[in-house]
Amino acid sequence: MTSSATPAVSVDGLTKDFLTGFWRPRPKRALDGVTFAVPPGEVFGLLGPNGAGKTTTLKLLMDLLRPTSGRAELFGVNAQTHAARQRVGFVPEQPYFYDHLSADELVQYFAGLSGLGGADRRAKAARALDRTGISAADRRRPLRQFSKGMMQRVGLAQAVVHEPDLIVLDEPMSGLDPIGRRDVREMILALRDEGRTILFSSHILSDAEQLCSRVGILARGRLVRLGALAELTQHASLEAVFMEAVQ
Amino acid sequence: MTIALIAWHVFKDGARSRTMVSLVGFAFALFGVSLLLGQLSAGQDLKIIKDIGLSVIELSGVLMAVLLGVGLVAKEIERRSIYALLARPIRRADFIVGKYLGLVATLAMNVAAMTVALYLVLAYINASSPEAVRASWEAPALDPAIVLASLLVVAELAVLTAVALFFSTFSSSVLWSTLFSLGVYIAGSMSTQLRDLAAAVGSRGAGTFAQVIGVVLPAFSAFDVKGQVVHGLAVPLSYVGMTIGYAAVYSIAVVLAAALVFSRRNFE
Repeated sequence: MTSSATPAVSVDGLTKDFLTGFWRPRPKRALDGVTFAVPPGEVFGLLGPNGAGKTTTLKLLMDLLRPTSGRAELFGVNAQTHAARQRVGFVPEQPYFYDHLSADELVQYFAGLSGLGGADRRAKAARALDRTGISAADRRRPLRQFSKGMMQRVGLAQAVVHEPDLIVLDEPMSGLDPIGRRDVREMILALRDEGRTILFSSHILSDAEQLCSRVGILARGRLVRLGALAELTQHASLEAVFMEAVQ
Repeated sequence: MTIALIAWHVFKDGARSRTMVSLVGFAFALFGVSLLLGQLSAGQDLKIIKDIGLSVIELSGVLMAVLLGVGLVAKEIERRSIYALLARPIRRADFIVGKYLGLVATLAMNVAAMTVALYLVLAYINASSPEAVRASWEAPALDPAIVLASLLVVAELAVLTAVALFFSTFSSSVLWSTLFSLGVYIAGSMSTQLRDLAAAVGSRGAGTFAQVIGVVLPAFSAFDVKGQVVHGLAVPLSYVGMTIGYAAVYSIAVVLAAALVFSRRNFE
């Protein structure tokens, strides 16, 4: 049991080195002592230019990468345990799934992997596809026929099918046209209105301005700004704050 | 439940894969060729059909095990579906075991289907051959030993799938994993010769090396009973049981190693 004061996401001194070079591998620091927390119900944006360490942070939270040092927790549980991901849905950057499966089959498969079974699995998969706006006809088509925007919807559907308390999205607007971006934005806001915690990475500042209550700005693997969006932009625009922080 | 779900997914994926459909189609075409060749070689038709039939079952199974086995994990990484999958509350070891069992079930189903097809061809030969010809056969056309040979093919494929899966857990190249797996298959098929070489070679170091390789590599030659089946020689049940037991122990060890490697892997 976790108390309501337990952060949905807690990252403490998170550091990740990658080995580069084939003959004489040397460590290259991708993330350097990053510390932040996201309380339940918040929409938190992890901002930064390409290569700043945003995706690395999210992958460490999802246990896709193992930290060199530091600790990551989800609802107070060590992120390196599979139990930590019970209450989490994850949408990777430009998600891609199985060509031969239909959207309905895919979302049911992921629902099953989250422990849902039988009628509950079917009902929740249908609900997730409804809320991401995938029509009854589209959900029976193989995914290889889907556009990027449609695939992003499927990515969201698989992430919310088990009704998680925390949804983590890696560059959710990446590669989408303006309509697709608007749709994803609306979906994120709807999830926020249901009281779910949202953590997403982005380098598109306008999205952060419209969605986030708090942001963290990463540059060269370090968290260089952290705070409420309103506070950070009290005396300057987010773009100005961002540019100053990353340069 | 997670393992069963992942296995079922692999089974569905395999059944719909072009590789599988092509190889099964190729195998059935070769059955037809064996029928034709059998008719051209008077008196030897049954042996030729059994020999080609069992070889086709084994060869198509080997190709499926390697081509689909190395893709089990590598393709998930290549198309990035692994990120959303492993973000689920599942253990990585369960993922590996589910993948393995799903492909072995798919291969077993294919071997079963091809064995039934081979029996149908043999039933046709049996029905269309005169009594005098049937009496000259070393073994009956519908010899139950074919089932034993097919069972050993499934056991062999279970080992090979484990090997292919193992390579795909740490190599990011499908090509290298395929080459390594085929290399292990070819070397393992010569395991008896390797052990003989170890005894015959003059150099102690080279002999030890050949012996170690011969013991460590899966003894694929042990699964081959085609010769006995074709010539109507007995295939003892105890031998089949022991060989299947060997396959089970070897496969479990390799799948556990694959799970261990995969559990420590970073997905950059």
